[in-house]
Amino acid sequence: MTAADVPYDFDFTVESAYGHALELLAEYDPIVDGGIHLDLACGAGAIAAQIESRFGTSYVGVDFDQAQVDRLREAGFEAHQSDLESPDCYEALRELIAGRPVASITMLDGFEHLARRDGIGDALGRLSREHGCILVLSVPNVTHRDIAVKLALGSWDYTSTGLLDQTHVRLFGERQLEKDLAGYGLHRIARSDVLLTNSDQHFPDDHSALQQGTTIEVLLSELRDAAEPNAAVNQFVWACVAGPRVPAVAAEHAAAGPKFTVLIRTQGRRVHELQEVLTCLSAQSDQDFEVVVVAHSVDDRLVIGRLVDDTPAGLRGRIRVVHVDRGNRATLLNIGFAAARGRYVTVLDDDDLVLGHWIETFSVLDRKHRGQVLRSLAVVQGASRVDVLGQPGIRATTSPEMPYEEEFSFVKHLSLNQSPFMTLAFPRALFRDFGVRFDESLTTTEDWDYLLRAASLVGVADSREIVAIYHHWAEQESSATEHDAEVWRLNELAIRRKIDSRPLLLQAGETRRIRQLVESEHLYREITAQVPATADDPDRAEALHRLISLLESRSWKATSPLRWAGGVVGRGRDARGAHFTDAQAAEIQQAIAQVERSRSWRLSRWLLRK
Amino acid sequence: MAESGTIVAPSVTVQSVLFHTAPEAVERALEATHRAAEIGWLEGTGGAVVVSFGDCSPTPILTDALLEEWRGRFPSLGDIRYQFFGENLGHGGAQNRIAETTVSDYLVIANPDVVISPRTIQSLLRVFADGSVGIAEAKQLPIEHPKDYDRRTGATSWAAGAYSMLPTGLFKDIGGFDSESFFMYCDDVDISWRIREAGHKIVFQPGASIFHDKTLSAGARWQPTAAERYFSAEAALLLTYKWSRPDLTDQILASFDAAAHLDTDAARAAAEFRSRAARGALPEQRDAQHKTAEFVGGNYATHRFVL
Repeated sequence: MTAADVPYDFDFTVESAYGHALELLAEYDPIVDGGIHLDLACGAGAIAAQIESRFGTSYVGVDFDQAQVDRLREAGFEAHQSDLESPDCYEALRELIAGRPVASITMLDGFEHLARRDGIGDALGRLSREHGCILVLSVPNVTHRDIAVKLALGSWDYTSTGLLDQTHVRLFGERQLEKDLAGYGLHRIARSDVLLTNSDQHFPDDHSALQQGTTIEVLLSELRDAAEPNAAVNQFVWACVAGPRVPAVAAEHAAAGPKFTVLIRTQGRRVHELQEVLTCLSAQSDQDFEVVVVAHSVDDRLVIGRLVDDTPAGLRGRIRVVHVDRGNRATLLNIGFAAARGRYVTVLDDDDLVLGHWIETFSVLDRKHRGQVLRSLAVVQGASRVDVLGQPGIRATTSPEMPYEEEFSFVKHLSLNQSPFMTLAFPRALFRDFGVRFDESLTTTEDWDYLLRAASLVGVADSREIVAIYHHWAEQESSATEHDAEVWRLNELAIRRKIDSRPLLLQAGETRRIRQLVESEHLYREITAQVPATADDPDRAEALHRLISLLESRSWKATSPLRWAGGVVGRGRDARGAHFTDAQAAEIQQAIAQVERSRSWRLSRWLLRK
Repeated sequence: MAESGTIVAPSVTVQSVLFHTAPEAVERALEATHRAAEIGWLEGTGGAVVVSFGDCSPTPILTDALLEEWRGRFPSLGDIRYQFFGENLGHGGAQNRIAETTVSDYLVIANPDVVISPRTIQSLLRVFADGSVGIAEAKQLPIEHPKDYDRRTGATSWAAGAYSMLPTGLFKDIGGFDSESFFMYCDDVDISWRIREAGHKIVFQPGASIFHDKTLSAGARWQPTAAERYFSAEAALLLTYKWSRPDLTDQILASFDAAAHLDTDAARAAAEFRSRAARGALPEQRDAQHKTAEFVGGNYATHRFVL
């Protein structure tokens, strides 16, 4: 029999799973006087010589295939034939170990070939525990990007060897392998996975979804890469040790959480405000939610504890507090989303309020549009802090106004966020299954960025119900500085760059809005065409375009009641872009500056940034 | 409140009128009041808290079994009382009837479905450290009432019946609500002004909050029901008349008449007012010198914003 006739007779190379396995073994220095190394499903014993030369332990190979065992013996190594699928595997292995100490165990690319694994799994767990030894195993990863992309398009190609070896009877991704091993009492302590950008499944060559740079390849690869970190892992190579057995719970039987998680970020400074928020939650008509309070760098943790403890028992039992002493606003969201157990997560900051049917409105949307981002509406109301007879309180200062687009438009959200955080409920699957995380490089507008990415993936379902009050704090406006505005602009640019750098999915109906925008551009050109252009006025045209955009924006229109009669921009309260077509460049620039300085515009910008 | 040198925390009865109220909403409200009472008891800052319901619905809303269950679940409440009136006495009439059995130091006029913040009762009790205060109102969430108040003292024109506390003795001394004149609305404005007329302060305390749900229209405005429009219209006529502003009564009647073809609720209210006048059933007029009542731009106080 030649080597070519022997299946799985692969040479040892440092880049292979064998090489990675030996590196892991070396990290844990498996040298025991008189100890043996047990290599299960050893095949041709590719690592036998390396084991003996590097660690000085006696190699003992075990395989079902008598021919392989014979070859190993001929090569001078100890080898035994044994049925690793036998329920009595442990006893059989104990017999061949014959009382010698086991320094280490390997099982490389064997597990996936076994239809019945409980016997060997039990044996691995018990031997590892009894001998206090390390187990290194390698298993092919069927969640590799190449397989994922092809499967998404209906291809599933078995091959004679490789990731989809036709003799594999059990397929593993990371989570499944972790679960199976934990069931045997084995837990990973280190890993040295074999990475392959293009695996043996990277065929056919002309498959457009596999060819780097095609839109579909970029889209699918980005989705796959974000969802879970093993897209380029060809083989998992893990070092495990014995620990408690963790019975596997079938995914379909995993404990069901509440329908919603209400995530509240707080710094513990707005105690009275947070108490009002919790009262609003006590009064919700639909109580199918939990509350996760993410407390950021709160010095006096008792303050938060007392607020939670004050709440009625029915709510108190559903509140968890997570203290975080690092990171920024986005970090808190990532930690909060990770802690959430609800099907959806909605974020309520500690200084806003919600109406009694806030959760109920999301719940109604869920019944019709499960899996999408759920969106409702909020009003904006001015508020200030007061102290009446020595008690802190909050005072509404202006009428509620509704400046947001009633219907979600991705295209419009590209230029301005029209959705306060608490008006949205995100499917937790986005975080859990798609790996969509908040961008911690953003210091503000992290909600806007997340909404854009979430909406692109799962779409948005609208309710026209007003369910929340977004407080505009007089103190906040007075403390707004040019520095804040600059930070906001930088974050906005970062979001735009990110969006521009990748393919984008759009919900049905968005192309209509794009057409409308294009048509409004035509309108703009018609307006500007009325004024003869001169060679030196491109800046004027740009400025006029900017002014028209400002004056036609919903934010500007919605805040018109805030402007005093006579108009901010000198052409009346109802000034429109068309009124400026005959204006000089300086006048247009002055009007832009006036709009951007006006209280109402600053208000609308602040509404949209929190 | 004080017995042989021992300070005893004041007792409170929360009075609510039921009328087709959903039991689950009542239960949410009770749970919150129970927790507030528990905190007061644990911290020694509140005395016994009793909740007393008067039911004006055609058939009883609450059963004995449910009441027993609640008494078991909410042990911090001194009692949960329930009277079925078998007739619709109107808000003020029902509150007066409930108050006949109220013996606590303070009573709270409350909507039955409000969910209070855990320290609202204590916050309102603290307002009465100033003995000149006659009635103290909690702030409504999520939509605050727009009437103005002093940012330091809380002084305001009137206290809303959604959740206001006053000494039981004072309530009885002034004869409770004027249920003859006001069936559903503005009885709280009227009683506030009679409290003020008797020399007491009206205080709004934003530090005490209660959740009293509202819905907002697409234009971000409060959406009154037809009944709310009718009884508000009727009350406006009676309140202006009673508090000696016949000029305003005439203006309102004229505006209702002018809009009769558009607003049948207002037209009905005008007809009812004229019928009362013909029967000699209008309330006795008071405050001839206009020292107590406040009528400002169609409201009963200066408003900070439009709702």
